[in-house]
Amino acid sequence: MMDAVTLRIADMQQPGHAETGVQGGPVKRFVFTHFQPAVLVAMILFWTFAPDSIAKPAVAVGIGIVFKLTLLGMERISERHAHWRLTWKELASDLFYVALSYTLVKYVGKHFGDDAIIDGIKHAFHIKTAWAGQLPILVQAIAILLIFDFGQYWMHRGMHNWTPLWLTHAPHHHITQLNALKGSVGNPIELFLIGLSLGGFFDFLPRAALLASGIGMAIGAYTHANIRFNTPRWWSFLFNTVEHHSLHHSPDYDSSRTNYANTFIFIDRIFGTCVDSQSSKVGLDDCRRLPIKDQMLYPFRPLADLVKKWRISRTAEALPAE
Amino acid sequence: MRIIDWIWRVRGSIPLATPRSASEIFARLEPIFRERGTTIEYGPDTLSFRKDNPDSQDKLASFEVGRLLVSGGTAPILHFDMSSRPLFWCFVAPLPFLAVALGVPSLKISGYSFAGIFLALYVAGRWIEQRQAHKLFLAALGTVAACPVEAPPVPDASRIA
Repeated sequence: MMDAVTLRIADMQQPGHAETGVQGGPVKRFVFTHFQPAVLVAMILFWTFAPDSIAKPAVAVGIGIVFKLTLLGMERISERHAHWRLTWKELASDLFYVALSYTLVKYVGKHFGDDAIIDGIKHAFHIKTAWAGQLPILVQAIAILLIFDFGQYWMHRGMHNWTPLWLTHAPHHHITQLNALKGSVGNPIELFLIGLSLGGFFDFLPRAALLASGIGMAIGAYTHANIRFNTPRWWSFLFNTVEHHSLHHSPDYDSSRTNYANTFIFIDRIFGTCVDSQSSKVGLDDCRRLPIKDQMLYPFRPLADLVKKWRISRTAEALPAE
Repeated sequence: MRIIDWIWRVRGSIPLATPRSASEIFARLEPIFRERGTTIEYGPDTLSFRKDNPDSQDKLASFEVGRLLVSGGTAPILHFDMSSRPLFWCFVAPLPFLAVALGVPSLKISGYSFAGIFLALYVAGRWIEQRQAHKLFLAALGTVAACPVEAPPVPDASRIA
């Protein structure tokens, strides 16, 4: 059952509805209607035609930072909800997780993640897939995104259905507001797990991987951004949006078990978990934010409880009977 | 301690227009503390607050503990003194990222970048949080403040001419 704070997208698009679309002049409405598709086209053009001297991972990192800063600025121009507004403390906390993603999670992923394991398997079984790199760049990028998103969908769905995985993912659901940086907020174990992909089995070109990661980064940032877009219907049919993802972050249990895909919401449509709706209230249980220390320790809570119980029972045994 | 505690402590004072009792001043400020996780205690001239995991939109969310004091007789002043763990950790944050930059060659750029980002964030936060707290108290005090926020000073006509 949907929570009272959720509204179907069809309802939101009714004329005169208080929540209807972007407010403001024609230029603003134009920008916030076409921004998402325009960025997609720009990403494709840039990574397809940029010279080799520019098409490098460092440039992708720079684009990612500038893009997220742009979205944070756009949150002030077409704000979705005032109660999601970024504060200094929230920004400092979010940047800590972004920094962890770019350092610790990246390092562990590189040395112990999918690439390292897949390289080992490919080497052991002499698997060669050079043909993948012969495909057009855009086809390669779509393949990378589809392979990643398909794996991510099931990993994410698994996290909502199996306690050991949920313990790593629950901290992310404790966020009580959305903004362009919130995709990075979570326990590092979850960030590591959700980043795993089987794409490494195919020898796609690095340029295609950069294009795929650029598209994935942009859509991932939109889905957490506190921005009111006039999202085109065709876009909402194909891609994940902040509407879909805000519903996924709803405190309502059933609503949170929808819209698992990172980039392509049609994967949810295929598996029957897509709900075209949204929620203004996000969080878990009583919607209290989880401090950084608790986010880090959350997966180990059951273990800590067990140790605590064991200590209590030992203390009880050691006490002389009266 | 006072030499270094400016890192995480925010202090300030607001002159009050006319002599008022501390209880009257605190009655005006009390709505600010009607937030989830916030408890307050009153002393003869003081209001102490404590926040346990405040909500994001709590205007004083950056501060865990604080004390407000009304001093002075004919020219009363409201003093505030609040401690912020986020400010402290933001001040410290550049150090581990510097260590990462110096210790792991592949993370050099990220390490230096985030060390710089947290340094800039601290400087901005130290200014923003002080300013916001001052403005918040000033707005709550209204006409009781010597320079109420609702009534900006009238420009001096002779100087404009």
